[in-house]
Amino acid sequence: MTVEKSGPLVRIENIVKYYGSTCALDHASLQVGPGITGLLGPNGAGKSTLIKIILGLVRFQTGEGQILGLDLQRQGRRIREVTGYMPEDDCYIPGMSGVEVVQFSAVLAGLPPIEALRRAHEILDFCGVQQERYRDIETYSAGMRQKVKFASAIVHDPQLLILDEPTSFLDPEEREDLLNRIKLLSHDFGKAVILCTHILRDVQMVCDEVIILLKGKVRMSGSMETLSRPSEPVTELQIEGDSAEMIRRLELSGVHCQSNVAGGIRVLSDRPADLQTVWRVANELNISVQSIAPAQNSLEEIFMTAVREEAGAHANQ
Amino acid sequence: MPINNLGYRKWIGPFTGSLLRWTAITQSGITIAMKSKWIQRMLLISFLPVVYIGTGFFFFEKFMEDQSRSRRVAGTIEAMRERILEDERIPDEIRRQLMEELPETLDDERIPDALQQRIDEALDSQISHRDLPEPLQGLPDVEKVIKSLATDEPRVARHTTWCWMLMTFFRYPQGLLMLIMVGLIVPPLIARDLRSKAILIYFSRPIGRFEYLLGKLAIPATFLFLITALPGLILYLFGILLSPGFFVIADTWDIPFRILIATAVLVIPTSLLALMFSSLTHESRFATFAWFAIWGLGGGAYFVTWATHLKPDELESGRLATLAPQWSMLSIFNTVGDVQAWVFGLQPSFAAVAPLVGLLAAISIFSFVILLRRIQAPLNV
Repeated sequence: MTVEKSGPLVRIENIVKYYGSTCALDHASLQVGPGITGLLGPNGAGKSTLIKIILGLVRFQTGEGQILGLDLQRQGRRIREVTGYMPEDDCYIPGMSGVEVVQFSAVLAGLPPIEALRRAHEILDFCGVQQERYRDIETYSAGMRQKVKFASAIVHDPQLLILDEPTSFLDPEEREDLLNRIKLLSHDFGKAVILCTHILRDVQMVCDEVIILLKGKVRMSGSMETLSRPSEPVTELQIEGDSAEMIRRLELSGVHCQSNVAGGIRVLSDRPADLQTVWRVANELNISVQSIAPAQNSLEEIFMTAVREEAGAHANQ
Repeated sequence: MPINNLGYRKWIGPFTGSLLRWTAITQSGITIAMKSKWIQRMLLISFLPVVYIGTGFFFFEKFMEDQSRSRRVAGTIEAMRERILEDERIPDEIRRQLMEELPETLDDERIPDALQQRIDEALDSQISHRDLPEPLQGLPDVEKVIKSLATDEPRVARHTTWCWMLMTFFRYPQGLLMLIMVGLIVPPLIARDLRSKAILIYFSRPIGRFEYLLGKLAIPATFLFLITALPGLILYLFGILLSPGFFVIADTWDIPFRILIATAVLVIPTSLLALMFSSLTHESRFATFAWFAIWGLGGGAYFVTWATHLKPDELESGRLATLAPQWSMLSIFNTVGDVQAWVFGLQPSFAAVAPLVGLLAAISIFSFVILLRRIQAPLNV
């Protein structure tokens, strides 16, 4: 079941969604391309509402959008046929075993029942669910249910995967396995993935793009590479020796710099002349330079910057 | 590790059409329900009344056959008696002797066909309450059947009696079993989905609210079909096999349709009502309580009203009248029963049951609207 794709896989423009008098999405616009996109935002930012709108589960007041070339308002059912969704909530269908739940999901998505059972076993193998698949799902641990939910989301081979907090309740090893599976699905099987999570390290590990949603608005979006780039050019130095003395000598030579939290030096420039001065000073002080690289903002910094900007904008209003 | 882990593979097989995808919900619901020992027992128990009503069919057909035979025998004897009395050549002494020797019964083969009409006329007036087979005499509303037997053609009598027996089957044993069966099956259907947040699992697939409801509604509908329509149709088939010939089908062709309509009258409002209760709570036991409470309170209110409307002469005579149909509205049991009686042709006037049909329609529509709102609610948070 494939659909025509041209341009971005998910395109949302000026979506406004109110629940009563509460604004959940305020003229939200975003685009999601191939690869893995992290959707970040604090609680109440509108992530869940956005996901439900993408799935065609809730109506919105104004705006428009297309998912894999399908109209958001009129083709919700078709969108759900080509989308796999793993909800955040600990949800399950009582009275069924793990394999029955996955088979049931496949049948609901349109696979013939016998084939759905075969496919369910295949996907559970892929997800690392062993013989416990025959147990009643109500007896599963939260982590096991998480795996079954993931298997249910991918069993019908969707083109777009929306994963809401997929690594919750998983131990570190399982978490890494799941992230590797997500990377495999995206890179080897060409699936577009929207990863919605609070665990920024997960996003940093697997995402190609990031969208930050705050108070119903898209505050930042772009590739990880673009967002990680500082607004001013900065070079990070890792040295072995007296960093305080080196900073003093660099300042005297006209190169602005400061110490960083890891015990290194942040040179607030990337000009070749300044970097030559760095090498010269290090040589004079007999300091060994272990690494020299353009500085990048961490995802935490990006996220906190967005939050601060939003708070500032809110205060100004 | 699995023996043959194939890893992830793209699905290249076909997808089924979306028209009957809701049946997956029904199928899974039935599978889960059938795991319950209580429901298995209830299904077995619900077939016991078939034996009783089946016996009724047997005795009725035997009765009809006996009546037919006795008509012919009586006609032949009557003809012989007339001949003996009218033939002037027979001396009085021999005539008296012949009259005394006139046999009580004759073989069927010796019955002259020409006398059949007179036989029928003679016998139609002889049928009375006491002539009915014993198993049928204890059943309610039996007067309607007796009336049909006394005044109508045999085929009309058969139609009326079969409808009456099927109606009795629907209203009394199966009505009670339906109450228990729905009380066991329906309350968890939506309540458990709400509690385990499974609603999101359903609606993130290409399934709409109507399909979800249809799938859930079909679960009690299937069980109720199994305990009402299916045994009803089996009883009808049993009656056909016991009847004198397949020409009976021509007289009773409408009965299977009446069975199906009566089942729909039972299934739609009751299942929607029970599903609505299930959707109002995350705890299925509350829905179970509400289900039994509404039937109990309704039945109690009807009984109290009926008792307060009894007249002293009715109490003395022991002939207790039923309440007017509008009072049936107090109880869903009586409302459904009265509408089913109309469906089976035992209540000739639609005007009398129109308010009851309206009530059942109102219950169904109200429940449906609430259901739609309740299953949308988890998505709006």
